[in-house]
Amino acid sequence: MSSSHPDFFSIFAAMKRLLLILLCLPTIGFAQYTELKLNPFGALWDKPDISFEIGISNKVALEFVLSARYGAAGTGSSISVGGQTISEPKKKGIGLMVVGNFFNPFEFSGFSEKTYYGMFAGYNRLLIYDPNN
Amino acid sequence: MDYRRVVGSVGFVVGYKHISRSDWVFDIGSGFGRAFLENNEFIDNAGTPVVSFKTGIDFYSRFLIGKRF
Repeated sequence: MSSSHPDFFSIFAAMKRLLLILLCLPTIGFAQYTELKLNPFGALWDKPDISFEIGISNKVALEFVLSARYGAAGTGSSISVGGQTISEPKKKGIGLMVVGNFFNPFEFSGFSEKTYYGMFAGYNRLLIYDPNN
Repeated sequence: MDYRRVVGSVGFVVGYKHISRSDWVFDIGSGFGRAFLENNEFIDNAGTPVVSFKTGIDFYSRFLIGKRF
């Protein structure tokens, strides 16, 4: 096969991306609100999270959370597990989470009216490694 | 030696969200769930897993500050 033609997997990946955009656009277009949020403590300790929330109604929202992990793992001193040691460990990782939130489902008033309940689905990868190896 | 964790999970979350009059958002929550696609491995310098285990559960916590548009 000629190398000038895109292979099946790149076409499949492009179609998947297009489908995702087509699915997301109406959701964003009809959203009652959108929120962009950050985890301030995570940003200080090399574990930043960024969240994008779409309010489908004033009761239901869909949230996408992207996480990254980098820098020193734990306190940066050595970790020992079962006789195995990682000296001066570093970490790197990434995570994606989708959260469906339902706000105040029991129609409480006062403090509890700001509570939400929901379900999450997530995928995370983390590697703690010895930079000396 | 390295440690590698890969996990795909589904679970429940409970949280509290305060929105200020100027649309600043303070969001705190936590949850737990079942870890389905889980793999925890300690890998030696040759790249061979020496210890491998599964916990079956996954925890989630969050503290987020942002802006509503």
